[in-house]
Amino acid sequence: MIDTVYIERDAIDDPVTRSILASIERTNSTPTNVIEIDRYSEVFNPRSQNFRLQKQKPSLILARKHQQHVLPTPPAYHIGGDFNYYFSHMLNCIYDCRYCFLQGMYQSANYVVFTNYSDFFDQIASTARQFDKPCWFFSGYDCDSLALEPITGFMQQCLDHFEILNAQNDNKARLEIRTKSTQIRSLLNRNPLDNVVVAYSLSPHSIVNKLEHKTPSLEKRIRALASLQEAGWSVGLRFDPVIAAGNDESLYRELFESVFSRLDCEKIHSVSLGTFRLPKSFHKAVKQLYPEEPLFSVPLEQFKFTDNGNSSTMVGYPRQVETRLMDFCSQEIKKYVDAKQLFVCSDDSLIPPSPNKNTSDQPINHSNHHAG
Amino acid sequence: MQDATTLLFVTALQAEAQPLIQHYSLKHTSGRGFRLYGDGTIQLIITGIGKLNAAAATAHALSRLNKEAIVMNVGIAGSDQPTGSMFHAHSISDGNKVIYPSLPFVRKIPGIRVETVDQPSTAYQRNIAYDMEAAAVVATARRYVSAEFAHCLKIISDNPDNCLYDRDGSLNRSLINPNSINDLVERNIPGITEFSNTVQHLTTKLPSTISLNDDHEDLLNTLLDNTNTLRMESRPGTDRKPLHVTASQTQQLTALCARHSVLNREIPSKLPDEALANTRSLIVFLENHLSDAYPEYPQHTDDKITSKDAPPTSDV
Ligand code: SF4
Repeated sequence: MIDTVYIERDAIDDPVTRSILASIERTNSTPTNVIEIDRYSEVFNPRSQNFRLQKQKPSLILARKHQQHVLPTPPAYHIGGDFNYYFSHMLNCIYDCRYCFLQGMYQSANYVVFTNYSDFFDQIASTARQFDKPCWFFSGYDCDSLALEPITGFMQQCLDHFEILNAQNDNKARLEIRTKSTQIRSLLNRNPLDNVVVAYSLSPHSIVNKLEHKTPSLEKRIRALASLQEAGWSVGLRFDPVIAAGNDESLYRELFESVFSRLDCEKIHSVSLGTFRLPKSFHKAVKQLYPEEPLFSVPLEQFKFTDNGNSSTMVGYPRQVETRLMDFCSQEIKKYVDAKQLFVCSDDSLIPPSPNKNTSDQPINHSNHHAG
Repeated sequence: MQDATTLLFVTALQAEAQPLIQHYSLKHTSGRGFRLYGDGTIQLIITGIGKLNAAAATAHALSRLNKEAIVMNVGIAGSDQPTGSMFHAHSISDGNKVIYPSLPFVRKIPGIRVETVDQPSTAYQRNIAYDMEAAAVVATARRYVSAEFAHCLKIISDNPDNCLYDRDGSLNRSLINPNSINDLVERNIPGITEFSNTVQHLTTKLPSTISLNDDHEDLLNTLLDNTNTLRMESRPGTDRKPLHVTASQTQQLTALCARHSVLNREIPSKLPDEALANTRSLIVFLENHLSDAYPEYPQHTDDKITSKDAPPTSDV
């Protein structure tokens, strides 16, 4: 599956590196090309790489993350908590959703996995300790949380960590695992944790087929949700991004009906809703990569907003289209769940994190939805 | 898919080039500064030895092309590996700077690190090939083409058992001579062509430029004459002067026609007078014409669960 693995010299001796390499070698019929590098940015960041071409067969880069393992989310990112952070043990994704902001954000489609997992867990614990109220950590921001789990084993360790935190009386840490993957063995094989929500990104069947390439079908995702709920896990539903279509209302009505009819609605932790939207520069890059894609040729407008004196421009549906979609979807969803369970990301609440919070080695996403 | 992409071979020596020239039946083409060969979409340039020559020749060859190209540096190198074996450069260093060619395909040739040096080297360190041009060729190529399309193949000409220099320090001429170099490359022609074909196949994954359908093309031609003026005849019933269309308006009109094509929306063959009042109103008309052009996605098709389906635990 992965033929070429770049490894930072500093990460070569990590147990995680060895275990990932062993998993890859078990699945490869030919020897894996292993290439030593100094820093992952040497391979990942250079310009003049073509994301679309690399998506044909991405390589894997194993690296160590040295700073900012945990970052605050934009204010619109929350599911009811006051304190919200995200983390990305991986950059890029094995799926290929046409609306994904990663295509516009990164030069390269190669996967980066940061092998110093324990540094992420330490920062999560120390961040949560700062607050006396629940503090949410969102996984699957720059990747899908579970899609590469059989190789990385990250979430298994992360859950061990949240289990320990859960056992501590003063623990306030909460985890959202956002995913489209049905790799849920690591969850079903253990007792559910009440400080963890498994949140699935869902779209109408035909939008999954047209735009969410290589992802599990809607049906498989619904089955995974039902299995998790049955096993006692708290689940969340993410209808984000909602895609405008000539027949969007009937598509989404049908989607809500097929999802909610299969779940115990009262036990759904949260439902969130947002429309398709990208930072202007990402939109430009993605449109260049996929000029034939109708998603980028439909009427779109630019929105300007300012945060801490920095102004940014987003591209999204015209306001009346966005308002119609959000109103329609909200009304439909409220037929199944309580309004308190529903969180709507509107452009009014959309403010990106301030750039000084991201001095690190990766750009920040200003779109409203997680990648995963 | 892009229009036929040029495959450009870059070699330092005539002896390295000769087997490729023969294999692809390339013809000498006129040009100043460097020896160039070509036949349609296959081109070859001989750079001479060293980084300066290599960079200048690569830039020279690529600036003559006005479309996407694949750049393939082919040549000999010293290494600890068996002579005659061929390697793909997975990384190419020049001092502290390292370039990593992008590999979004299955590569059958083994990989090696190539170090580009100023003088022939007999360091023969483990898994390193020493050459004198690769870094310059690939770094220059990446100013013109994306990282997936700039590669380097090295054939091992000398190693610790077959050293580049004799004991007295003179070049081992029985090992390194035009015939032996020609022979080394010739024996690897199958590997070179297979690798080139693999990279060429990648170009099928590039987007084509959106071709305007005939109606839209006609419409653009009808609206704009070749001095970028809104044509009088497209504005019937008006005695106003022809309107100038700026370069940016031409771009906007072309983009709007392309969006109509992508979204399968027909532009009315007879445009209303108010749309033709001036260029701006035409642009506004075409934008409004797309205001509800959101594609329909089919309603649910059969994707029902069957009891035989395995539990959803594995999807990779
Ligand atoms: S949107 Fe999420 S699932 Fe889709 S490609 Fe991006 S990260 Fe992966």
